[in-house]
Amino acid sequence: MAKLPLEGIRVLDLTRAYAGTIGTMYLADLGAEVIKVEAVTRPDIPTREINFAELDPGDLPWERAAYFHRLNVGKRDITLDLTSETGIELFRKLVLHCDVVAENYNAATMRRFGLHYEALKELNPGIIMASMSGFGAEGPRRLWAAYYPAMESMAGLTAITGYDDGELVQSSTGYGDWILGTAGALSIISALHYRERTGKGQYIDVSGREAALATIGEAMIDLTMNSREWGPVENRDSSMAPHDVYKCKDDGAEDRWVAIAVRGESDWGAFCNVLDSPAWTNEDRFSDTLKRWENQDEMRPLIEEWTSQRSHWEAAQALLDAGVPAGPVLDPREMLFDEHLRARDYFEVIDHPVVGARIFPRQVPAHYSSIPRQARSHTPTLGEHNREVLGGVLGLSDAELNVLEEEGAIGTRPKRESRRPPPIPPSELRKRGAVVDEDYREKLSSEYGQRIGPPE
Amino acid sequence: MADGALDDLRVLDLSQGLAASYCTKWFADFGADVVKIEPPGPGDPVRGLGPFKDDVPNPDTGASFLYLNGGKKSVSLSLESDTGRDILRRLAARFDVVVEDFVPGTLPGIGLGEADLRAPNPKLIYLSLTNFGQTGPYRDYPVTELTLGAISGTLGDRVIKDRRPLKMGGYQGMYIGGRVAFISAIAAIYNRDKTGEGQYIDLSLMEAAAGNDLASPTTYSYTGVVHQVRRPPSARGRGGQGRYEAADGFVDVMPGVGGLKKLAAMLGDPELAQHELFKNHTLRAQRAEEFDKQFMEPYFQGKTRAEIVESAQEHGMPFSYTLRPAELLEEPHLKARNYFVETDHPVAGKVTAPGAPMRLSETPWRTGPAPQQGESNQAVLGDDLGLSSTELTRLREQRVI
Repeated sequence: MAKLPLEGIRVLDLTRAYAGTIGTMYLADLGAEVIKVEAVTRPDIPTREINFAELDPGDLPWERAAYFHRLNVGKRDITLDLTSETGIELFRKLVLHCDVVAENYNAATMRRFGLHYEALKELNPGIIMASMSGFGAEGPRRLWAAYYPAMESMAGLTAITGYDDGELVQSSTGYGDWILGTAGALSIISALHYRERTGKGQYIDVSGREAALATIGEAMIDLTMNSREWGPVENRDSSMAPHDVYKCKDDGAEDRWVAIAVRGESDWGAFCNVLDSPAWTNEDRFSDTLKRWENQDEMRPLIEEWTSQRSHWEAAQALLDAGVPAGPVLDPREMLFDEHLRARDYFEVIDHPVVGARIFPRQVPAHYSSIPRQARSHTPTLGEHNREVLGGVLGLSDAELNVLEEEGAIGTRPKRESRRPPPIPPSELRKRGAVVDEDYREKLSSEYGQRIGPPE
Repeated sequence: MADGALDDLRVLDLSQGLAASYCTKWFADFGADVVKIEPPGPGDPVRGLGPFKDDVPNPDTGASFLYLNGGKKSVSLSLESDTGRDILRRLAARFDVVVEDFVPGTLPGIGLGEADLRAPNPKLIYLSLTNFGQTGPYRDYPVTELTLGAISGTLGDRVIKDRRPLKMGGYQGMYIGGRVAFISAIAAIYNRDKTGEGQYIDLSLMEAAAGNDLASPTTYSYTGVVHQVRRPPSARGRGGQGRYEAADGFVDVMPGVGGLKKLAAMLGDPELAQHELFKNHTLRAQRAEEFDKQFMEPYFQGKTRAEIVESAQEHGMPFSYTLRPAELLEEPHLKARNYFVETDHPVAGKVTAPGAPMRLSETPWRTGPAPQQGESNQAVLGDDLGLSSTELTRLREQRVI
């Protein structure tokens, strides 16, 4: 069987929480052996304690969190305490057997551990080390901590995302983290290619804020070329109109919306046909692209007279069939049942020893002609691969591993368990305004043809 | 020092849209020789996207084209003629990567599909980056940045109560597509390093964008939660969390782990950490207004965003503030890192654009001015492919180049 592209590459992964963790997930998806390093004294709590399966922390809360599972699928997991000498020593030994070290601490932490690039390079000259931080490894603000809102807002992305009343909006999907993680992954693979032909490793300093800034090049060029500064523009485009998200018939639980983008005269003709050319489409104020652009806000209620009679898919389908760009605003549940994504095998069901079978998107959704897709391994439990990695890779004996375990240097349970919140009943979430299904496992089991949910 | 991590690679860029062009920009930035093939006349459709210099439409001054094509070469070549297609086939035999974003079926229909180009050059990586991929029921649907955001779930995952779903600024969906396309292609290159084998890659923008989702579909399979509650972001901060007003704008206040102790220290009185409103989360939520009036507002009064965030960061709290594009040019950290790059373009003049998002110690990032249409015809078709000057003249007369 053909191998995955990064099969044979071993990554020592110190990333935590979101951004860096996303970066190494790409590598795992492409076949690299990613060894996540946690500590029994310090597991990756930010994602291990959020969105528990069945909203219930259960007996092993740290093994039940949707976020941790999503971001660490396909990796291995060992526990090493890098604040102890034993931990550092084992880590340094592992570096000899690895191709890549990835981390997302701030610029001072790895140096404090004595695990900065120069030190690792002495151990393993071919090592590639990638630091994924908010502000980069050098410069006056290098030690600043940044979560995704900072990576977006301090990159100018937030300043150009918002409503006309001046309300600026950050993503609620952690987008800044995805930009940083993706930028980290693509740099690492490029460096692997370079090492393949030269034998040289290197140090990679990725800044999430700078990677996010690289997505608004147009705004920076307009600023320096035309002295024009971009601000929030709602859903308007610089040339297309109509160009907005319009309200559709609701589904009883919440509002539904369809996005429509009319690119020019030919789209406009097709658009009018689909709407059956109501009288307003012939009015002078909408008679050419420029007038429609200038009067686009006035079109909104008129278009909604049509969309509000239809579901988001009915509206989108009619327009798409006529060649006009349109898209129903899909929610996460609809994505899981989307016929196109299903037809293209976008989601994978992966069985986990604690929470059972759940559903994961493919992080690299490419279809390769001669690299068949392979089943990913489940998100590791804490320290699941201690024996396999420390024994198999480093050659520690069972007796030595037992000692480490007895000393508490490695383990499979957090040393201090945080307080367990009670399960949240869905009715409570609904009271707070969330949309929650209670029959999600049945719906998904029927769609995916296998039991989704905890093992029987 | 090398010229770049990918300076051994040659990329034939048939892109017509932003996503595929951003994909090949990564190749160019990492040192690859990227040759853009443009139809004679209008050229790359991205040349038609504004804003333009002085708002006068000009194929050389569109902001997107200038940004995405820095450091690439341009060859004008008509794929509508047999001669043009034959030249493209001969060129492709000398390249490592082809990137294209035509409507599925277009290139195979004119003898330039993956089978046509990979048969003579089995080591070629041929990447098709299209709206919905090469298969499946939506395959032939059109897409724009806005409708892509809708159908890939990125707008629907950002629903704010009582507000219209909002697109992110710029072309984020297309840029995600470009990043994931580049990862897919460079992974195939690495695979080729090991196996000697080329690859065809079918990638869908919808799927690439859907994958930057935090964890929402997966979370649904764990919890049944379709949407969490989203407070409108304009809602002012309460109880030491959220958006607070400084003298010159808003600061996003986020105490983070162990934050209330740090907040007390920042406010100038570590003893405050013992105050019941600092210690008790529930109490603080109940008496948020009192907390804000007594502790937050007096501190924020008269201080600038930078002062407050500077101080919070020194205390280990990840506060941040919103920078406008013009403020970015002046931000001290970006300046110290020499982040922005200025290029001098023969038509557009001096423009400043974002620079390297990552620094590789052995292999520098690089860029250059965006090419004028066909400016490398002689270098690529003549010097490299070996067409004689008579042949080139004839091709020019036939409007093939």
